[in-house]
Amino acid sequence: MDLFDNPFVLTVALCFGAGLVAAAITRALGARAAGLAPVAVFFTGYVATYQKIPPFPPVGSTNKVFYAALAAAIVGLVLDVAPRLRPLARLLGPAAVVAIVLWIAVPRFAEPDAALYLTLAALCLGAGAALWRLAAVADGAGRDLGAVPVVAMIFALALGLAPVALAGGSSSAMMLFAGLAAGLGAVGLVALAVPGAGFGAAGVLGAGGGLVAVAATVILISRQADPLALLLLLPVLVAGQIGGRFLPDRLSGRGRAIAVGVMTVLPLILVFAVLFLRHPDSFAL
Amino acid sequence: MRRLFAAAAVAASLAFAPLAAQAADFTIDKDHSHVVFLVDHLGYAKLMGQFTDFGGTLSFDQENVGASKLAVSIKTASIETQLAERNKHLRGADWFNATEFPEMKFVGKTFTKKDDKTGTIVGELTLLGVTKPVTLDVTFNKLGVNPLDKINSVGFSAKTSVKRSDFGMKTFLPAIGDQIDIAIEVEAKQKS
Repeated sequence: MDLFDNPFVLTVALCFGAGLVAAAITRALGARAAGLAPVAVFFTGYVATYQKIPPFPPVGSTNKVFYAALAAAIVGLVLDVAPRLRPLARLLGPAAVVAIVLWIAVPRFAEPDAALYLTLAALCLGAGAALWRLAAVADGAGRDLGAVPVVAMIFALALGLAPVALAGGSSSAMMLFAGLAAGLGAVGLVALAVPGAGFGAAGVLGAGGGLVAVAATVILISRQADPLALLLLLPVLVAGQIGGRFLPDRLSGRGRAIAVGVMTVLPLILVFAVLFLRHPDSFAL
Repeated sequence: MRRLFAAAAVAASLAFAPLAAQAADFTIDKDHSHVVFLVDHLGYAKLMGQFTDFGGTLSFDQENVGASKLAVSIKTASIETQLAERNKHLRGADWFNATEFPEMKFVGKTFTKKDDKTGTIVGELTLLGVTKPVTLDVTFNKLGVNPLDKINSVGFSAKTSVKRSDFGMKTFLPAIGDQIDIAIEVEAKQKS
């Protein structure tokens, strides 16, 4: 049990366990509930990391993260329950990003400058594109490669953001991102075991929105995030799709899903390399 | 010449006598004051840190301590723990969140004299947007004219303990201790 004395290990383990259990339960409940698994992972990670359910109304950005993710997840759940509204997820993703980023940024507007507006624009553009892309790929879940491509994308984003957060002065955000990656890894394993299952808008907006809220906190409040690493993270949104085109046709089913998943995370090698080279002190043991 | 010295001495004593007997307003001398904290690190030892930028005012009457006033503001971004990487994290959103909460404040509400040298100040500490009552155990050190700058000055030492979780700062509990022991050394100079 000594291993779990380490809060990082404990959070990752809890999120992995939550991912396995939630994915199994939600798959049994049907496609409309599938998006709740990543949401369950995110909130498990949040509570394990910050050790609280924050008071409402939230004071401070780390508390806002909880309610931003909750609101986004509820909107996503409504879209999942009413399938005719589901296409709205592609529009609501970027809209949720703008709302979350501006909410987190509120204290920065006390002393606004050009750098703030530039950061806000870049963040909204990058994160908006991420959620739009996640929603688009999630729409294809349930067919071909199942939920694996979208799960792999959120997994890669979380795994890439973890060291960005550590170098950016937020070990809690690093822990939450790592937990999210572990939990999504578990969801991905269940998605591989049960091919063809879907991935809900609740997952895209809830887990994706939560991920954006934590990233916005690191970027706008802790204010140390490496912009180059963040830029290099964006290819995970297209790497799986582009790489998939080069796979042999005879590779199908689980094998193809695994290959696409692996290609999705490949851009992280460059992200990690840049972070280690530019912020060696942050990774010194 | 003797008369001249005697007159000067009388004038000086008249000038400074009221300072010890009436409430006087002081400003904290940052160069000779310290706000130090200790927090348990994994049970092995206590990590020490300090805040290097703070300020405040004090109204103090040695004969009527209950009428005193105290307001202190500490810049959270000024935290210093001997390690730049750790300082960066402590200033971030996980801990003191210096962007959203650039200051923590203590306002003294009730001043109680125990004896000639000790007493308590019950006040309100505001940190991370949360205000909680805190009691300082205070030792009165000295009141008088500073021999170097000739300004009437007062000095105190104070100690207290707070639970950071009371202020919503729960990062890495319990690995990093909840109880924060705080030691304060203050010199304050009378406002001219």
